[in-house]
Amino acid sequence: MTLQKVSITENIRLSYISTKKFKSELISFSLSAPITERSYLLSLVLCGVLRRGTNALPSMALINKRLDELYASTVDIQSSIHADVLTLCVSAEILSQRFSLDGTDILGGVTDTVADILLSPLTEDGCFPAKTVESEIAFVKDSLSAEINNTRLYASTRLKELMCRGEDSRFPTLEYLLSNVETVTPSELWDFYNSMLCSRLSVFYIGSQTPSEISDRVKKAFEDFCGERINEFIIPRASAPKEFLSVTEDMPVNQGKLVMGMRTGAVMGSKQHAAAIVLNEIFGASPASKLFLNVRERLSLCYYCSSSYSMLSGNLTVASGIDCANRDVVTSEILAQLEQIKMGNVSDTEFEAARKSLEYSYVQIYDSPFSLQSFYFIRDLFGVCETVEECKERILSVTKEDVYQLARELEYDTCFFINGTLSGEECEVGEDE
Amino acid sequence: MNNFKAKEFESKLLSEKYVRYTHSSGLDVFIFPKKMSTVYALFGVKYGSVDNSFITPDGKEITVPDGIAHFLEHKLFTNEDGSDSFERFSDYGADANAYTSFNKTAYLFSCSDELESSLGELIDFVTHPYFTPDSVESEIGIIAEEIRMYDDNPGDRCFYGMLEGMYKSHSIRRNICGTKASISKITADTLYDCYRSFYRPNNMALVICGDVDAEQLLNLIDVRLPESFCGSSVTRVNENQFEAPCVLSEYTERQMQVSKPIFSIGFKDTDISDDPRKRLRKDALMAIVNEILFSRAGDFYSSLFERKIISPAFSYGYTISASFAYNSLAGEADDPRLVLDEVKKHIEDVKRTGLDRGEFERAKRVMYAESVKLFDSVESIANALFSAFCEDEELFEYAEIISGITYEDAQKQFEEFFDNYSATLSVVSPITH
Repeated sequence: MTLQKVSITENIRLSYISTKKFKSELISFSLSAPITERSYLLSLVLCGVLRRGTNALPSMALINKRLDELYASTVDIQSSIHADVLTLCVSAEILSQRFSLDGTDILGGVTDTVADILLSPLTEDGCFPAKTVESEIAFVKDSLSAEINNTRLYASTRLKELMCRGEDSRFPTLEYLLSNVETVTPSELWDFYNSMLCSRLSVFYIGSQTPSEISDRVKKAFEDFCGERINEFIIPRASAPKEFLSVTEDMPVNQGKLVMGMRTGAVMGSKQHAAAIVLNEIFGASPASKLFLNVRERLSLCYYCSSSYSMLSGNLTVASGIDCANRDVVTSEILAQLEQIKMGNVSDTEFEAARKSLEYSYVQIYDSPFSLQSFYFIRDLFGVCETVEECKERILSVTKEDVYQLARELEYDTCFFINGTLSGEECEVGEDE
Repeated sequence: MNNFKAKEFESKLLSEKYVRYTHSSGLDVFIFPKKMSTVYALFGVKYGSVDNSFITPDGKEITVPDGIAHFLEHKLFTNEDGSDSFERFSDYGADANAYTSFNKTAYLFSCSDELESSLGELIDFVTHPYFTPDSVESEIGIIAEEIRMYDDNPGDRCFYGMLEGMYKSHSIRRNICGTKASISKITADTLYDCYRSFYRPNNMALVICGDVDAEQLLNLIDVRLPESFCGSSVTRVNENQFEAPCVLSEYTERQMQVSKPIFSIGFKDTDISDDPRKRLRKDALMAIVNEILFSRAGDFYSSLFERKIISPAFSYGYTISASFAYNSLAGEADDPRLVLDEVKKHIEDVKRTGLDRGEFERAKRVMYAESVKLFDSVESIANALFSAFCEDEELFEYAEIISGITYEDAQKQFEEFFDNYSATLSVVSPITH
């Protein structure tokens, strides 16, 4: 399964993988532009507004009905941040044509519907309807406020914000988004929408139809599209370590959430990128990792304690849900395990388990259209030419010494802790009645 | 192969087939061939959190502490020689896990290499229990943190609030993980009692899905199953059959850290057939009825959404098993009581008008497409096969039933279910000081 690329028109590029392996197929349409705090905020509202109706299907219910007619096709509209880039992506999961019982042209119908959503949204006096914008603002506000419902996710968001401190950051904070979302106006949103349409359109398809069939459908559906801006993005350098900062927030919850932020200095495309992936795996990304085996299994201090690595920022973060009284002992153990790696104490068994686990995670990509799309999309965005196989081989060539070297450069400079104020209390649901 | 009796199942509608091999011990082995890069295997038992009272093989009637099925699932990975099977799976490059639900427990792994080593490990650790007072003690801290984590999850608490509102004594109303108090009563002896009572060949299934050589695997399974793995099915003391059709309470509320109220509405169903095929048919009929009544493509959802009575996140579903059944709706709303009023009004309206025929056709098409899409993932297939085994159903039958359902069938099911229903509303609301 190799990725092929063709230009459908001057401003629409198609990346595709031809395969009959799946019963469902994936087609996505992405527009990307440099990000600002404001543009991300606008994109959140825009995603909801686009879903609310088109000139041909003037309500959300009619769009949903149309998609159900197309064998329960699902269309997801999302904005996301990749380093300094904002991406607006409309992706559709559709049933493969061979399962159409009545000959309905599923891919053609979905492509037309997506084109309609992106190019002909419902308007009122040449702009998005004020009522729709107003209600989507309210939904975005609710959704942002609801981040505190999930303390694990909230802690991770707060850590990310804190790690960007002092930078000329375009990474918008939750506080910024919440306090500014109500200032969005229909006309500003309309201008933003039109500015996004100036970018070149990237189409990604994985499924059984031929490239010429896809090209013809997309060309026909998007004949009015004229975005010309060619954005060439580069991954920014990893941010430098900062003076240590620790922030604690009290919350009326049972479990404390400890998140620790470290900087590897290695981003995608850099020499140390592969070593950072292996380091993360050994440290805390699998059940054979040092954090799992020691913080959870040996000391019984938590249910989860894991690490994750962001290849676009170079940040490595550790997250654990713990009894608040154990904060110091958990922190010390996590750092002690990191120290073990810095000192070169990774056994052959640990190293081999990490390699095998990573090798398997890359093989897994071939079994999921979504994983294939995300692997290639991010590389395409930043002009990195690498196949899944090449990436896997690069990671498997990392040596223990590469990992030790990178671990020694790792800087732990940020901590965020949710102090559960119900911790230690006899909580209502945790006890026998 | 001599020790297995084979039966093949095929679905022309789904273009899939699999074979059930019944081993001389009574164990069912399901092999589902699928041309994928990864293989998924699962060894599971029809035993979950609701099975708390039973007669042991030596004739002792016992009631065990809440959460013990889940506790056993954690502890089974520990081996007599002090090793942990999680680590062994890592050595083979496999990704292992386990889960416990109300009525089943499963141990699983996925891999792309060394399948036979991992499968051997799966069989070995599941058929060789080893519990000691020390190992039980060391697990309490880990599971206590897991319980705390779920205690802080508003969606989880709201769901259990619905079950507590619906059921008076059925053990489904109690947390799958148990409570801090109940797990502290678990001993190595009670774990052995549970293991010996439920982990028996004819109460278990081994499922393998992927691009595999069936004969080779069956030979391995035959060799690795120990002679001690024998005995017939357990006798459950079923306190769960005697639930009144009425809910225990119509409203329950608890306050937690949430930005706005979330709700779960539960319609209790005690009309549960002893015939698994009838249960499966009811499951399919209710899926279609729900799709007609509450879909995002329907007028009811649109109306609530446009009037800002509910937030975009809204879900619905019907659950049926041998001893419990309910229909549920969940979402986020400023006034959950108003949502329930609207739902009741909607049901009354449809009682007058009958189900919409166009919506029926749409719903059938959606259910057909969802059934097909399930067969794109080795994980989904293996878990669906195991669920079907636990419910004494055949995997392909659901899609076949869906295709044969008529409008009249759906209308009749709607009328029967909502003729004299009993509903409960569970709310998690923001903390007020």
